Amino acid sequence: MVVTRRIGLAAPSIAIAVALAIALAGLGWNSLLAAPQGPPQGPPQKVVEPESAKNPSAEELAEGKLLFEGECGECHGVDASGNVGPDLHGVTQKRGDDGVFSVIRNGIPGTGMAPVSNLNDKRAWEVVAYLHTLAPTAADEKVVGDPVKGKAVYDANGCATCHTIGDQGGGFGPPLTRIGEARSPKYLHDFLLDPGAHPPSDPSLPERAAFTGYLVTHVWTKSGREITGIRINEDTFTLDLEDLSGHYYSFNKSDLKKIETEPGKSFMPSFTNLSAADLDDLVAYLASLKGAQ
Amino acid sequence: MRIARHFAAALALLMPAAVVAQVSYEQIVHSDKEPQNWLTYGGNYAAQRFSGLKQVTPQNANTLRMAWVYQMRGGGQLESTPIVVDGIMYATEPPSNVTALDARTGKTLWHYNPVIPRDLVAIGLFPTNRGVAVLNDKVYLATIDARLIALDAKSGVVRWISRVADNKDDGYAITQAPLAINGKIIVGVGGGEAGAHGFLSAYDANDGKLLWRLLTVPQSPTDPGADTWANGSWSNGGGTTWNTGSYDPETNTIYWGTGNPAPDWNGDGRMGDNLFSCSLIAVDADTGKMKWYFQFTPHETHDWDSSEPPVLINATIDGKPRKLVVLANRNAFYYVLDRTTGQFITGVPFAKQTWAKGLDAKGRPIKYPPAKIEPSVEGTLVYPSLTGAINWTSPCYSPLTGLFYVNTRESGAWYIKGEPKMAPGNSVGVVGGGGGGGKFMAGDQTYTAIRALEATTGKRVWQFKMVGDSWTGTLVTAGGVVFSGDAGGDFFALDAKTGAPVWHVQVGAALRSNPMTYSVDGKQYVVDSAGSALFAFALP
Repeated sequence: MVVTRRIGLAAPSIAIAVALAIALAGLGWNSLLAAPQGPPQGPPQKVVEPESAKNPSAEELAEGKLLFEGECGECHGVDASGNVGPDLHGVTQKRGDDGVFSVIRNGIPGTGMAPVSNLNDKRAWEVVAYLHTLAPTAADEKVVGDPVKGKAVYDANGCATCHTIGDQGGGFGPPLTRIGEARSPKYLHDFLLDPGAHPPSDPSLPERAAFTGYLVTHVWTKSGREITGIRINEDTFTLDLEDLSGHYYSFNKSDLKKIETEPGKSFMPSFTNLSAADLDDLVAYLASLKGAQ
Repeated sequence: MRIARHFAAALALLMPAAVVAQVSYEQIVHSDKEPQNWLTYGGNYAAQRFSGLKQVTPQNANTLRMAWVYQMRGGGQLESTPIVVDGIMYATEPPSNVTALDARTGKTLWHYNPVIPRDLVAIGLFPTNRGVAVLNDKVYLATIDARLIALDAKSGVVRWISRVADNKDDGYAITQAPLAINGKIIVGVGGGEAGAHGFLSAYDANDGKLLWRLLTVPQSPTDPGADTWANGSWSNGGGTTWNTGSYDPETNTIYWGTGNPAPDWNGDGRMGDNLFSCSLIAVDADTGKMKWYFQFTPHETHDWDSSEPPVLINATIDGKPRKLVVLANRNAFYYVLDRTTGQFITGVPFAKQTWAKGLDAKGRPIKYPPAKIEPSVEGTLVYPSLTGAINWTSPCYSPLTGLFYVNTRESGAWYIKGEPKMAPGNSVGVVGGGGGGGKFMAGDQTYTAIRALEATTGKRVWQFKMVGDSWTGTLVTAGGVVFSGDAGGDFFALDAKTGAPVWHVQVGAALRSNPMTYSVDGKQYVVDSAGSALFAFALP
């Protein structure tokens, strides 16, 4: 079956994935507690950063590190370098201490970042104080190119065929409107040279968040058709693909003779043909994309 | 008695709230005689999750269709195995709420929502609830803040409340269904990552008085097992009892699994076997005395709790009838033990594992050298993963096929060693002090599978592979069907003999509970939860 209607793709690059597999007692992590009684709570209260978070003692910092490792390390990496959740180096610079506190308290709706019920306010601030010490790695954050020239490189190379910035561009690949917020310049640089080596996660279902996104997949049907596309969704019984021309395919696996995937490959071309200067400029342009203007 | 119950069932259809559910201990002992009901968390005292219902078969399962859906009221993750008594279902919702439903229609009869403190401590666990116990005219609920509450089965009003342990300062929490036996309610505790010390308790079913308490990890230098924790490191805690066990009425013995020692991923400060963590304990139900223990993973450092349901089976081995307890362990080995003595009979891996060369004649693991398996600063890749080859979800056993059906998790993880900081007696001060953690493998490198094992040997007979990380248990019926679900939202039925899929339905969220079945008015229903809803299916 071919479905021609296009559906907007989620943006793996900015989605914060959830680790459904949680360690410890095997239950899950930091989930929102149901309000035991009464209606949902009102709007979040104004956050006031305590003095202790601005000038934490060595002990409070150590505590924050410990808390982070136990409570956040599963998704964000024990060293905060990212796992299924993003790298948090420099997050307090990006969001502000109170912004990070608010994320810990309230989560980020629509993403895997659930409110952290395990930490009281004091301990949440200790985590913020610890995160504040994790400056972005200088080399990672270094932007050497010229974003204005980079836009020209972006346009000249047809990136907009597959990617959107704001409301401009195609929807086959992930939107890039906020890519500079979600990815470091170093990541963008490496990704442009070898897209298949740095696949984003697939956020189409929270349960599948740690799966490879945009996975190149070939199927052979029992009726003799052969189709190649990216995996849009898959469960035990079914598989959805989108081919390069934007057609959606819905398969029952019982109707397929063979399924092959190519992890490490990507439909996105590798931009090794760009000059070093053009690549730096393109990275600078992408790094400058931080949301709707 | 039977007439009375049938009358009650008939009444339930007309005026459900007027029916008093009466479930005697004898009834639970002989639950196989009333397959229309599901009387304990594990389906029966043996935790077999086997139902005698035969209406749904591999031949007709493809006509199963939705009977009703119950949408829960609050947020959070539904992981409950409902109890059904004569047409009334008792299900739980996060964090610790109970709902009584008309099991024929899914309509609510009553709700009970205990007030849970805002400053709840829930460390290393998800604030959900997995089910209630029933006995006589009461429903028993263990709450996330570590209380045990008896409710009137008819109305949901509170009969008594007992505090099992402290939540606020000590970090104890309970998600499990209690186990109701003759006049007693047995309940364990969770909170091992908070430094909680494991124990198992029995309460008087009538008034909630504590009858006995058995420590699974020492709380003083003279407690049993203290010499297996170097330098008094038992003070860090662990060995919690967070999943529901099983019970043998013939010998009045309780079987219960225990969790990891603390801190988890850094065992440097707690050299020794760390008894009675990661063990199965057999307990005299009258006295609370330990009859025997079997430790699966001595000096555990990978979060492989041994909290999996111990399944009691009777089978013939080498021509002799044996009373066995079998258990698929989070450490990836399947164990067969004599349940009278605790003697090891056999044990084999049921999932990929890279930490032990095998088990010795007594069932003790022969571990690989520490450099290959111990958590490290940079991360050590070991199979199975932190969530284990099985986790909290229940396996099932069919006496008709002799097979043990287990949702198996095939994945490794990079185990990371952290600071082993734990503060004795002040666990909340070290929230998250698990001594490390780990990184999981990406989803495409892992899978889950329903595996059928020969129960007496662990030999694999068939498997059904699933995409994604399924967190659903299994159910097997006399009709010859195994039910389970996957992470992609498919609830499905397999032929119990062959593993061939015979039915599936997409319910829109990952399946998250152990499936169960019951019947009302001669119609068989199959139930599982996904997202925030409970789904019931039946033949047309």
